[in-house]
Amino acid sequence: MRNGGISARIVALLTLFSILLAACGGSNTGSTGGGGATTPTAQTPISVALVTDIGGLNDRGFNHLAYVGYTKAMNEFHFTRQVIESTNQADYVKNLTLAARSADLVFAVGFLMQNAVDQVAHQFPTKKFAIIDGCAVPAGKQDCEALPNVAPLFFKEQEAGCLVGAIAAQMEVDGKAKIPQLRGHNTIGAVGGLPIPPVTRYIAGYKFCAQKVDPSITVVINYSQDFAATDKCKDAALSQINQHNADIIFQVAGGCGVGALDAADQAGVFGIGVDADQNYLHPKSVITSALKKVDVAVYDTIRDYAHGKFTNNPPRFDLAHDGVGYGTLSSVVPADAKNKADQFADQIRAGTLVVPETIPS
Amino acid sequence: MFWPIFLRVITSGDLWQASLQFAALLLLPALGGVISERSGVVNIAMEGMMLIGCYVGVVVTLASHSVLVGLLAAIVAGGLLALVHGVVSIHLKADQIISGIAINVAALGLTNYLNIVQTGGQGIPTLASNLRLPVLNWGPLAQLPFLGQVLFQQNVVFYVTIVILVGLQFLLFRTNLGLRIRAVGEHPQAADTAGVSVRLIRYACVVASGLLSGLAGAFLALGVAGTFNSNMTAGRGFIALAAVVFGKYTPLGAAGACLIFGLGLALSVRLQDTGIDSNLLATLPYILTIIALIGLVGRTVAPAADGVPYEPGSAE
Repeated sequence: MRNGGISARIVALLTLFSILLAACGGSNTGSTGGGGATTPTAQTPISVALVTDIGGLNDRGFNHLAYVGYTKAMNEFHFTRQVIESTNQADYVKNLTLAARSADLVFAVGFLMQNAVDQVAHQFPTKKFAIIDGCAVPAGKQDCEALPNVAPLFFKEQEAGCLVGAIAAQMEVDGKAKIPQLRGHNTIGAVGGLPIPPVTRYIAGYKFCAQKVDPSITVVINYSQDFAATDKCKDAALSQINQHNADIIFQVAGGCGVGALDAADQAGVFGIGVDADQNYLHPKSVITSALKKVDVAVYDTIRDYAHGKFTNNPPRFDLAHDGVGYGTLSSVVPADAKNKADQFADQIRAGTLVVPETIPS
Repeated sequence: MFWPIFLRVITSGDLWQASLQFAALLLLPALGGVISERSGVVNIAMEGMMLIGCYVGVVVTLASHSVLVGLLAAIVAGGLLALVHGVVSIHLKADQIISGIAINVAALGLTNYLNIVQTGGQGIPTLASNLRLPVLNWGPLAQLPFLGQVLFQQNVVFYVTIVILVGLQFLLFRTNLGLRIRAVGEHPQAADTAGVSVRLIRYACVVASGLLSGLAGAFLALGVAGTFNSNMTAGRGFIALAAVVFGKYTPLGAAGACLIFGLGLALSVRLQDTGIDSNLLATLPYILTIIALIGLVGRTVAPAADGVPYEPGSAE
């Protein structure tokens, strides 16, 4: 044991180093993102922290978008970057507590943090919290608790799901004659991560509006039970393509779902991205993306907070508030499919089409 | 309603093809675990080594426009990280569990960090098909009904894994070198007395576990996913660790454990068609594993000197 002292120190250093790396991932990227408004007004300095979900900042999806909105606000309101990436669901309370100790406004990115936000918001009644896709829910309960210092930021994902579902179903109606890559079984699929409300709302809208275009369409739905393991979503999508002849696959599984888009691309069929515009991943086969503008929600919340207008009852981010939508269309999407989506969007904005939150049978 | 769907799923080549792929992805780090633990070094860092392999494999492939260079880089990166574990646990005699945890956390943080710095948070693009590890072309064999899909439409790394599995089983139990490795793990003092270099064998075995984990990372990122995602290994290295123990520290045993787990993973998605709740089905791989553990495996004994640093010349 003569080396015990040295080795213990080295291990301690290693551990410290790695924890630092894990906690501060990406601290050099303050310059990315746009928006840079140049109004150097004498605002009271604010401090804002962002705690991501386990998908990580670069999940190409909602964590990434939250960071985009955060960065835009950071450049405009000049606060110090405080981002904590969760690597484990057991760390939510720890990470939120850490954030609340140093920042006055804390963003929790993700439905899975509902219990943790409730607990930490009670501990820090003078600090403000905003949670994306959720609200403060006491442990062991089902319903939201209205706390004065927690802003729940909800989206109507079902409206975005509806628009891409309409595009997919119209393509199936157009059929092989117009789009030769289709397999002609009038079947589309959705690969979700976990069956949690923000995921099932997307799928609910997708199925509802696909059936509205063509009541005879088959919609197969699977869950990979994972948001990170890319190969699991790829497998789920392949099973939909191989066993059910599904030829348009909607991914609702963050970084995992990138694998579903890859499966569709390799099998020569089509995919639909989620949250962010994912057309760039496979410009031809990703026909569009269901957009959820988390960046808009994060930016708006910080802006309102900076202007002293924090509310624990913000509006729902829906189509009418430009909170959801559909992304870049691939060149294979025929005009009638786009028209169908735009027609549904008009009806939703006008209130004549109400999309359900739960998946129709 | 359940049985017709169950029968369709269980008889489809699609299920078994996916099961074997999931199993092979687990087996590579598990084989790494077997060889490291057999030599007496506890290695719980396969997860981190695999993740580094994923990242380095994709980045180097994109930079060099050659998947072979990317594959080699992934393997070497896993080996280098294992070398760190070797130095800490063999040379410095530090706690091997803590070193393993540090490597896992560091790999996750480092890959995240570099990925964000490199791409500004947008993520790495997907690889073109000529920059991926391909599915091996078996010609007419691949057209066989059922067996063609299951056995002859797999990624090239799958077949490499089978060769490594058989080779490692032979090496450990049928060669002099294997006997030395096992001796070092069971009773290093005796091996030392017999003129075997305990340190050399242990370093070689730990580095080998890193090379295998790096290869697993390349398989996942360059062969299956075609891109890198944060935390894309998603705990696989730890499941592999369980497979090592479950398989009684033998390559073939670990392969059996990985097969059961892979089948459970593939089934858990496909049986969702029966209407069984997907959350419940997600427990299937673990339930199958526990059943097999109770029914087939019995008591598992780790190598006697596993996790114990060796002090050359120390008395009993």
